[in-house]
Amino acid sequence: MYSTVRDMSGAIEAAARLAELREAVGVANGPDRLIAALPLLVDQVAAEAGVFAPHVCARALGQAAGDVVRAVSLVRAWAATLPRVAHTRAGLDDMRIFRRITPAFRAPARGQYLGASLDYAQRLLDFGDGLPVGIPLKPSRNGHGAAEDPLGPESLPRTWDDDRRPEDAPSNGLGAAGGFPRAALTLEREGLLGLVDPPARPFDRTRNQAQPHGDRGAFLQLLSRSETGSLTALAYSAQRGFGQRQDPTLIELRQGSLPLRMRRPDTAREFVLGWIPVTTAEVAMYRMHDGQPDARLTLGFGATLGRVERRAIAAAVLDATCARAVQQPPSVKEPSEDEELLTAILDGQEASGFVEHLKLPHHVTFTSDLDRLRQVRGSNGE
Amino acid sequence: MSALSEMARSARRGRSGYNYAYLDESAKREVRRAVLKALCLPGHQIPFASRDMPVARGWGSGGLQISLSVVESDDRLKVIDQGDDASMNARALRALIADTAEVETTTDAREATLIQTRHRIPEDDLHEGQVVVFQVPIADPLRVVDSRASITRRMHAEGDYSAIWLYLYEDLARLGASSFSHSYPVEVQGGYVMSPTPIPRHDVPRLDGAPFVSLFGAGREATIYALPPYTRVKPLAFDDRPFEVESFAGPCFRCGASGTYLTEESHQGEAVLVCSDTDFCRRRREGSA
Repeated sequence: MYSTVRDMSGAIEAAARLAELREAVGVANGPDRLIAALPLLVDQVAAEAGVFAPHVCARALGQAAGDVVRAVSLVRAWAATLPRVAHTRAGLDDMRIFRRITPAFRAPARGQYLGASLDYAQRLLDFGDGLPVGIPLKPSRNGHGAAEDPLGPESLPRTWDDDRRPEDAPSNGLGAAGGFPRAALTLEREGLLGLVDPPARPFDRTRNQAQPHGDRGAFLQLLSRSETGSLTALAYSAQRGFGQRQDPTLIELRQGSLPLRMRRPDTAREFVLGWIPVTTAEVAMYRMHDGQPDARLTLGFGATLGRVERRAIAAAVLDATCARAVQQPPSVKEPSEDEELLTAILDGQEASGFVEHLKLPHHVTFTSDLDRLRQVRGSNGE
Repeated sequence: MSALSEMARSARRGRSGYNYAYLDESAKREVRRAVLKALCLPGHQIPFASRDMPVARGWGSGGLQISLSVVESDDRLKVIDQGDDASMNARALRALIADTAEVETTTDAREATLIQTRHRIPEDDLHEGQVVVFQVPIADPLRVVDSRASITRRMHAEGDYSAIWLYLYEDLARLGASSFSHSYPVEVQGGYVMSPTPIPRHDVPRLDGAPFVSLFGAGREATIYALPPYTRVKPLAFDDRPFEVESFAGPCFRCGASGTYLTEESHQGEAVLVCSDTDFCRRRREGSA
């Protein structure tokens, strides 16, 4: 019986041992294999954790048996115990670009640069690797099938972006990232973009508590670490029409490597500490108010660690919808326009933690609920 | 603190390969500062930069951060969930604190110096010098009247509690009784309205003038609040409709206690009521309560 799920005789250890059978599969594959085989999944863990450490993220995925939320939890808790030695600012103009598209403009300055993308590949499940379509399964103890490793431990698959190295990117000769000027610049020069006022300032939610709303820097950090599915769903709700009439356009999507530059404390000489993979998106929002078009576009910005592009796009949409709602408050805020609501719900750790805490025993509080219910039914003469 | 001294400190690691009491020293210091502020302003919600902990958000991460920040090596630790020391999550939290802070544990509330709890206050009369750390899911008692912190913060700042009084009144008018079951809102020392966390109403009067220190930690909501010893804690209620605690049909099936908080369990197919405080119940049966 549930209320007696108590640990008198090592139930926690026994339950964990059962789960370890599954973990072993992930661990046996090893961080290198996971990074090579599932690069976007590792990127998603890094992005939601807000920690770029691919080997740690891959290890966490293995330990979590592939549960992204749990992997993120492991990475964040690990990172929280590390001292913050220093901080630095990375300028987006410094980014070495592997991919840059501007859906809003047919032929932007310096052109489109498609890079590595599965976007246009047909989504046909590929059976052409010679493996039988029905992989023979050995039934495991819990009845689920566990396939023999078809590749063997030696064959590290090459990935679709194995050859990407920052130094291979187009050189940064024009004072703009990879020589690509921001596509939104042309709009800015023409005065078509609403000014963001005040501009976002860097904020670290992991060390400071943000105001419930109104600090765009804190909000952008929250969006960059938000749970991927929630981020997508909320951005979609804005597109789907839950909100003021609006029409988001992706001005530019960039993917590349961002150098983290620091100065040596002794000689003050600058050096590159390392490169992090980043995807950024800029979305322009064109809206009608009372039948009148806005005189300006609202520009939303989204950024994420790694290469899961929908994260950056969704973040940019939500930044724009919230920024627009501040400038001209709607009578009724929809979720995608409500920064305070989004702040409360978008972090995957907070949301999943609280949803899953319902698995903890609640008989004390439920007894109290029932007491009230009986009292109320009694006093109503039922 | 400089980064270097912190690195030097973290080199002196505890038993499990982590810093003493798990958290790094600057995190502990921040939590302690929030706790001190909270004790100076009883019932007021103090923000703090809640760290990611090795337990899920919503599973006691706030209480855990307080416990790890205030624990000392000569503490005796008790951790309960629903009053039960052997509940799975309580055991996991207890193991983490005990392993990393190298403290003794106990199930006897009378001899514990630090008690972390979810949903209950132990039945024993606690005494001066004891610290009770509550795990808090929802810190703001005004969440029921407005879900926006931007609004409820202003209500607290202005002492404007008309909305929650109206909520109570409407309950009485519509239902004939207050619908608050657990988490019954209380007024602290004539000032802030506070949520005593999801303790049942049975436990609410036991906070009034209590000799122990109550520290409330909400990890997910990054909030700490507190009651210093001997603080006046009054449940919100109208003069002619007094506050009511839960009522139970009969004493504890196991130990025969009446006046304790009971929950239902199955005994040979029959539903019986037993003490939710399992250690208190055990000691009564063994004649040592």
